[in-house]
Amino acid sequence: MQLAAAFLVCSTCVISHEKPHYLHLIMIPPRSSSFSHISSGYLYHSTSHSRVRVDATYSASIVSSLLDYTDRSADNLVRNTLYTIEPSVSAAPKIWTGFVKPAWALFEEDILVKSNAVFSGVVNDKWSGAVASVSLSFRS
Amino acid sequence: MYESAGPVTVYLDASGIVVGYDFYDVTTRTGIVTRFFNIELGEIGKEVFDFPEAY
Repeated sequence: MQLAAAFLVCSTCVISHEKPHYLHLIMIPPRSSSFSHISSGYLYHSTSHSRVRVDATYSASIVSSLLDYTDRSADNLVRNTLYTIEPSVSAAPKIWTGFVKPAWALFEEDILVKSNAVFSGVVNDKWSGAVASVSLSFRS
Repeated sequence: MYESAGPVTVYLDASGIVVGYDFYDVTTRTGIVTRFFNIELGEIGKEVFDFPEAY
């Protein structure tokens, strides 16, 4: 399972988030003890390159994950290359590549229009404070 | 965000910048929360996405 995503907009202007620092929380579901992590790191989101790079650390792993949205499989999965160092930097890095359903979306400039986004109010977010929320149906 | 399409709530700050989003992954029955901090906007060089080949 890859982590993922970032970025953007007021209906016509686009902002590509380059180099955001992110906090990614996967809430642990009661039915699963095998899948959970809380990670943080750096994320590079580029609409011009159609790529997202996520550098994360969690547990004893140092991970860099690249999602290349220009390279898709027949069933629309996205090329992912995962570079992992664990349990410490003395270990040889492991590289894996394959196609995944990305959890890090590549939000493009016209995402609000294409996804029929609906403004769903200003909310007081626990982490970000007062923010405008927008609901949409995302299609990768 | 998984399956062919799924509901996502995106959060924007006063400048229209995305500061995070929430969605629910059906396959793992997991709520996923992502927030961005210290966001920088600008060009990203191509070299940033240059990864070694898998072996």
